[in-house]
Amino acid sequence: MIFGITQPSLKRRLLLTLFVPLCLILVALSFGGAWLVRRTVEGASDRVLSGSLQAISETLAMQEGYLTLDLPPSALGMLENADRDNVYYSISYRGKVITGYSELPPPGNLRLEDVSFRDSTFHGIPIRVATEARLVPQLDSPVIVQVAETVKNRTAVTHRMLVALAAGELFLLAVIAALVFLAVDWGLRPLLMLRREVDERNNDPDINFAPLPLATVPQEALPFVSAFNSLLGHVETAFQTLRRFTSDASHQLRAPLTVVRTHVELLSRHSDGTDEMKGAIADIHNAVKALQHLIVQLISLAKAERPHSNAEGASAFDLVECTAATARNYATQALARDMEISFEAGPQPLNVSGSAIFAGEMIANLLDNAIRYGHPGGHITVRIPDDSGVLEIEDDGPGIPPQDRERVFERFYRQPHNTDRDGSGLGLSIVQALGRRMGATVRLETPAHGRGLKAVVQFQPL
Amino acid sequence: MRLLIVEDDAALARGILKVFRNEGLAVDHVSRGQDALEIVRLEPYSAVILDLGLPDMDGLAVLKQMRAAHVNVPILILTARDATSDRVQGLDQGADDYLSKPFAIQELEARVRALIRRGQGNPEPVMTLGTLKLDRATGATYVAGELLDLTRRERAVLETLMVKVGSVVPKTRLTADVFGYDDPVGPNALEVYIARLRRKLEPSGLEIVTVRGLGYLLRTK
Repeated sequence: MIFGITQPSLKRRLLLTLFVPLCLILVALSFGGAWLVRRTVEGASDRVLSGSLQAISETLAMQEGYLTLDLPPSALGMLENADRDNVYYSISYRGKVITGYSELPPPGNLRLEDVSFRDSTFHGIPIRVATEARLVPQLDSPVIVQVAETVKNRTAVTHRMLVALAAGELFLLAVIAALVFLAVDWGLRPLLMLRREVDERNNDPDINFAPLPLATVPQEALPFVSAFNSLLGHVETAFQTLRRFTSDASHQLRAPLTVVRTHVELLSRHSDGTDEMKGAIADIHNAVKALQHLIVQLISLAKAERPHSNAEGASAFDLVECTAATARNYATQALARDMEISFEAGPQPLNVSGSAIFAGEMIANLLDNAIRYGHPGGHITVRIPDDSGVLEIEDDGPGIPPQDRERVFERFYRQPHNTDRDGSGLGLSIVQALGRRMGATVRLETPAHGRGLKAVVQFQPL
Repeated sequence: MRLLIVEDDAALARGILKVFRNEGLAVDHVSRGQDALEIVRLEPYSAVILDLGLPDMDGLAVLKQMRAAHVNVPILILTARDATSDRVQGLDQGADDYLSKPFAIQELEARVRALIRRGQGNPEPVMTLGTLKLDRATGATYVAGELLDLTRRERAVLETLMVKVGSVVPKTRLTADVFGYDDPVGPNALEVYIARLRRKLEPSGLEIVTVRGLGYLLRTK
C-alpha cells in the first residue's frame, strides 16, 4: 500500500482532485471519439457503396420494350478490399426481382432519385445496403436498385481506430500521472526541508529555540510556520522560567538550610543527651548534608544547562593540571574512606578546548560518584592515557550494568540498590550537561579488570 | 579578641554567636549594613563575618565602604550564591576570605581563626599537630617534647606538609620548597627525604601518605 489509509495525506488529496476529473474527461473523450470514428468510417464506406450503386443504375435503359442493364465490372470492383467483403445486388420492378439476389430484403419507403442506406442481414450476416429508386423513361413505376456489402472491412477499420484512440488516451493518462507525482513532490519539497530542519534540532542535545527561517518557506505554509515559531518562543519562555525557578528556589533554600546545619552541628558538638538523642542528631546532620548536596547539585545543573554563547567552548585549559588539582581535593575524601586514589598522566601539559571551571566540576562529580559508591580498600585510578583529550576515571566499586548506562544520565535516576546512599541522582546529568557546553562527551564502560566502572570523557583536542 | 557578625538571619546569627562564644571570643552581632559601618569604627575587631544578603544595603557595598574608610580588619564574606563572579567581586573589593552557605561550622571556625591570626600579622610561629611541634622561628622540631634531629631539607618538607595538613601537596611544590634552582635534583631526590621523614616521624602518630601521581599528604594515623 502506498498510503496509510487513516492518516490524511496532502499527496493523496492532490492526486484525488486531479485524477477524478481527469478520468471523467478521458471517459467523455472515449465516447465522443468512438462515436466520431464510427461516423467517419460509415460516411467514407457509404460513399463508395453509393458510387457503386449509381454506376449500376446509370446504365438502366429501355430498349425495344425491354429494360436493359449493362453491369460495368468497375461498379462492383470498387468495393473490393483486403477484408474480402462479399458484395450483393438486386434490381426489381414493381416488387419483382428482375436480376440479382432475390434474398436481398425489399426496402421500405423510398424517395425517388435519392440514395438511402440501411443496415440489414444476409443469411444472418450483417450487411450494409444502399438503395436507389430510379425512374426509367417509358416505365410508369421506378426501378429499385440495391447494392449491399458485408461489414467486415468497416468493423476492422473502426476497431483499429478505436484501439489507437484508447492507446493514445492511456499514454496521456500515464504521462499526466507521472507529471502529477513529480509536481506534487516538487511542490511539497519546501515542507520536506522544514521537516529536516526540525529533525536536526531534535538531534541537537541543546534545545534550539531560535525561530525557523521564513525566507525559504512557501507562502501557503507561512502561517503555519509563523505559528510554530511563536509557539517555540512561548516554550522557550516557559523553559527559561522553569530553569530560573529551579535556580532561584535552590538559592533561597540555602539560607534556612544553613541555619539548620549550624545548629545541628552545634548540638552534636555540645549535646549531653542520651545515646538515642545523639543518634537522632547524627541522622539529622547526615540528612542536612544530603539536602545541601542536592541543592548545590541542582544549582550546578541549572548553571550547566543555562543558555550559553559559542565563545565559551572556544577557550582552552590544561587538562592535566585541572584533573590533578581536582583529584588532589578529592584525595582527602577518598583517604578518609580508606580508598586509594592514583593519577596517571604524562609530564607535559595537555591543552584541550573548554573551561577549566566546568571541566573541574565534571571531574569532581565523577570522583564524587566513585568515592560515594566505592568500598573501603577500593582503588580509583584517574588516567590521561595519551594526548588525544581522553580522561578516564576507573573504580573497582559496584559498577553499573550495561543496560542502565544510558539511564543513569537522566536526572534523579538512581539504581535500585543505591537508594540508601545520600547521592542526589544529579551528578551524571551535570557531567553530561557541562560536557555538552564544551563539546566533550561522556560514556561509561567496564574496566579492563572486569569489575567496577570506567567513565571516559572525551574532550576536544585543540 | 573581638568578632563582629553582620547577619540578618537571626537564627543563623544565634548559631554563629554560640560557636564563637564557646571558643571564648567576645562576639557582637548586628543585622543591618548601616549598623555594621558604625560599630566597626568604634570597636577594634579582630575579624568580621559579613553576610552579603542584608536587608538595608548590599553586602558588597558595606565591604566597599569599610575599606574606603580604612577599616583594615580581616573580613570573611558569607553568601548563598557561589557564582565565581560573586566571589571574585568580593575578594576584589577587599574581602579576605569567602564561604558559601551552607557551610560546616568547623570550616567557619578554621577560616575565622586563620583570619584573626593574619590580622595580627602572626602566622602561627609554632605549629602543632598532635604530639608534633615545629617552631618556625628557630626550626626546632619536637615529638612529645623530645627534640627531633632533622636536616634543613627534611624540615622544609615537613613544614610545607604541616602548613597544608590534611590536603595533598603536589610533588612539584615540595621539590620547589626543598631544592634551590641551582641544586642538581635527581628524579628520586624527594622520595629520599620523604622516606627519612617517615622513619623519624614513626613515634609521633603521624604518617605521610603517598597519593600516586598527585603528591603527598600528612595526616594523623
